[in-house]
Amino acid sequence: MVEPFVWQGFYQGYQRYAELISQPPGAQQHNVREGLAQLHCQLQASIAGEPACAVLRAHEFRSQLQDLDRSSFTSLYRFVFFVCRDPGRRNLQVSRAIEAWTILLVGRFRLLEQWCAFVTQHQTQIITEDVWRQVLDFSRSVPEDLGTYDPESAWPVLLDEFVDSVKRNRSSCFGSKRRCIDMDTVSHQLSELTTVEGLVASPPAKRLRIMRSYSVPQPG
Amino acid sequence: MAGTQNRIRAQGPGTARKLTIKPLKSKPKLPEDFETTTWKKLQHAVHAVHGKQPVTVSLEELYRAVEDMCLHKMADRLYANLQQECNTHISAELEKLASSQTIDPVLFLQHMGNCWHDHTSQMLTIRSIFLYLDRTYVISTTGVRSLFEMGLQLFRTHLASHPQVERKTVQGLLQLIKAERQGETVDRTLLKHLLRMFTSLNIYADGFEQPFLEQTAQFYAAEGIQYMQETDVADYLLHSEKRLGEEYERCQQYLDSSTRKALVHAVERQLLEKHMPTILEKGYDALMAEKRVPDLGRLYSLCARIHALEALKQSFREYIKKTGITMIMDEEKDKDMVNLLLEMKANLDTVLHQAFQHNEQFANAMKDAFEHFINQRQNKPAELIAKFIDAELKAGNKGQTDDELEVRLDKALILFRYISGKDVFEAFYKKDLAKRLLLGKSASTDSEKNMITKLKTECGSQFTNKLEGMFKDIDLSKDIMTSFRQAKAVQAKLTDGLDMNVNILTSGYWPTYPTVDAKLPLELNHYQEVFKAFYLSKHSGRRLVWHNSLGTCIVTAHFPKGKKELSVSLFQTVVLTLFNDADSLTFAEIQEASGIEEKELKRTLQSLACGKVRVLLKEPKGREVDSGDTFLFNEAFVASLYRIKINSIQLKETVEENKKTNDQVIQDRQYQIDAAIVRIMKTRKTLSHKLLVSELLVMLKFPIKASDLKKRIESLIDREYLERDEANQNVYNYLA
Repeated sequence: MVEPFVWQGFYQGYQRYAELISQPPGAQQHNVREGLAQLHCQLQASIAGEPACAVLRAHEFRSQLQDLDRSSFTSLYRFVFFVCRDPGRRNLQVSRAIEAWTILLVGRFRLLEQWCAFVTQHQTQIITEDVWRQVLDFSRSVPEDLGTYDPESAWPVLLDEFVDSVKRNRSSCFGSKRRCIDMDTVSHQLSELTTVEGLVASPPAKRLRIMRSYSVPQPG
Repeated sequence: MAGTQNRIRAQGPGTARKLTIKPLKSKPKLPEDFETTTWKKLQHAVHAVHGKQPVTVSLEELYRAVEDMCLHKMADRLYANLQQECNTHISAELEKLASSQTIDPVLFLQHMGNCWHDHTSQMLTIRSIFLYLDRTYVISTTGVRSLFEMGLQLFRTHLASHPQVERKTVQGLLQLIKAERQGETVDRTLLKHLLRMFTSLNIYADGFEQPFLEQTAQFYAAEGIQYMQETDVADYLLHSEKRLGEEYERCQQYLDSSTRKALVHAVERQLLEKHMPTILEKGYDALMAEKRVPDLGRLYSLCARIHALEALKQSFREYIKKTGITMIMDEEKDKDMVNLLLEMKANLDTVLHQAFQHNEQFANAMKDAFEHFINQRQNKPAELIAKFIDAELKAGNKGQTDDELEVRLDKALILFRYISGKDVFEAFYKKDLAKRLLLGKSASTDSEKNMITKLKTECGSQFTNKLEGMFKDIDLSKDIMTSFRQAKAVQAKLTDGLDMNVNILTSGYWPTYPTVDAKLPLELNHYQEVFKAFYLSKHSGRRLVWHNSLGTCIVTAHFPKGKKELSVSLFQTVVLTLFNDADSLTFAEIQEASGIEEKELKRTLQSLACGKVRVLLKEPKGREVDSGDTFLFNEAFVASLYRIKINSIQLKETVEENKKTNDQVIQDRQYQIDAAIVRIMKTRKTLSHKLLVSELLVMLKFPIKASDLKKRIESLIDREYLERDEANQNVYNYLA
């Protein structure tokens, strides 16, 4: 059960956060940063970390996710990183990040499952804010077949490695959706092929050649 | 005198007679048949000449006859008649040739040669007879050929009307030349003679040269293919060179000189140009590997002929890359890598200088190739070059003069020049230099300083700054020790029989060493305290840290079988002094009493009890030291020398040490990358990822992967030096 004050803190925090980051860039930057710092302190003292994560898990929260438009989702996504860090931490632990991703990005990121599996296996312990934000960009701008992915561009190294591993897996078993080749079937088919060829082709050809060579030394 | 007087007398006064010259009454007339008879005479002579019979009338008379005819304005008719005569004769001669049944073209050539020879010599005789005609009529009249020319013209015309004669001749010639090419001896005079004929008749280019070149091309095309299959590349090249020489000679001996260019080109094209890619692909590496300098020189000059030096250069480069990479990548050969590389470089230099004529482009290609392959393996080559130089500079590496040493160092430096990760070299060089200086292992300070100067000219003073600082430290330490020994007040506090030398190292210049603690013997500890107080009194505000792991001692050991001086490390000393009070100690006891860290202690004990010189005995015996072992003072110790070195373990590089040096380099590089990123972003404020990366690659002097740069950029984003642009994730903004 999520305590009401946590709910309240979460929503108020989100509203303030969205308000701050949606301000036009330029002269206000300084104020924005200060406002964020204030908000950060405020949240650190109240619901940051585990309590905020509990909000994500709540059914009421999830059900509202569908209705969000693109920009509000972006600010919510960023706010989740902002609020889910443990007090005193700059970054998010991997386990918590994965949990948040599975809640937030379900239906929005086609490679979500693979991504989470990859991050779990990877040695990294934390997710930085940059990586967190880039994952959302990645989910929105890169198609499932990864055709437009450019490793030379500015994607974080973790995403580079992810794309690499996905591509490697695909090339080793002919695409992710098809099943891997059954080596037994293939070898069986191959063995059948050779027997057919052996029966039809070689013996008669040999006999023919011998006959011809007999017929040569008898000129008319 | 007398005669003269007589004549005067005779002409003297008296009967003077007048001489009158009167014109002829009637114009002397030529005989009616003058022209006919004279021509008959001449015609007869011409016939004799053509028939190779002696001319009955004297040549002078004939000459006069011609002169007379010319004077009487019969020159044009005479010319026409003569032409008519020659025409008939030449026509008949060629007719004879054409109808001759000689099938053998060579024999036919003989006939042809004779015919031509006759023609020319006859024409010359005729010309001598008709010289007056040739000199007056021919010269003064336009459109009339000189007699010899006329003969040629007639010959040409008749030859043209008998194409089979010309064809047969050309065939015969080609056959002869082919035979000569196949190694037979042929009549070169005949060839020369007939080819002169072609030239004289002005049909050389069309009649002979063209079929000749075609035949040449055919011949060498076939030969090229055959030889390429049958012989190896070196022989093929030799053969081609020989062939070219032969063709040159052929041009000198009997061909017209105008043919030379086209002929040589045809040979080059068929023998070399067509097969050069195959030659380079198949045979080049073998030639290089077997160091066949003369063959390579031949290849070079042949390639230069056909403008294929670019391809040769390419092969040269590829060869170096290929062999270089196998050398570099073979981890088992790491020990010899530098020597192998030097050897390879020396061989390549020989080839370059002796076979490739010092060609600058080839030298550049070699440099390129070296730079390429030597950096294929990260860090290791740089490390090994540093160690190679270390080995050269270390004492004990005797048997070479200073000059030889210098040469070897210079060579190593050439390899160093190709390395792009110079910081790795610096790190290892520094570490080794530190050991040489501190443990006194350097062969000569001059060589050391010489090497530093070399590095300085190579990489600038910033590179050698710290290395020079190390030398300065050593010099300063000597001064400090002198004043320490002279300070009487300080010396009074010290016990006799103990001397100590201290090197004071400025921390920035030297490699960083971990401080390993040890409980020193009381005397040493006291000494250190006294020195510390002395030093700090001179230089207040400094901090002095003792690096015991670098210390060495000379201790006197009283073995039952004799007194020995042992040159040992400080840790070895600490362990050995424990045996002053005991004959047998367990590992745990030694560790307790010495305070040395376990791994270090194991190494120390191993050197004392398991090495070549065993001043301690271990129970149970074995090569490895275990924490349960017991150690005994070796009472039976004997050695032929009085002073014995056991401190070699300090010189040996441990795996951890190696790793540490490498890590240090990586760490340094990260700082450098960070600094470079911040420097660029500070001036640009906003920059796209790709531009930033390309600027970094220009700025940073060591090899680096794009992913390494990305990591550093991410780290800087995390540390809020940079941020991604809200609108475009590929653009970074600098955060002030």
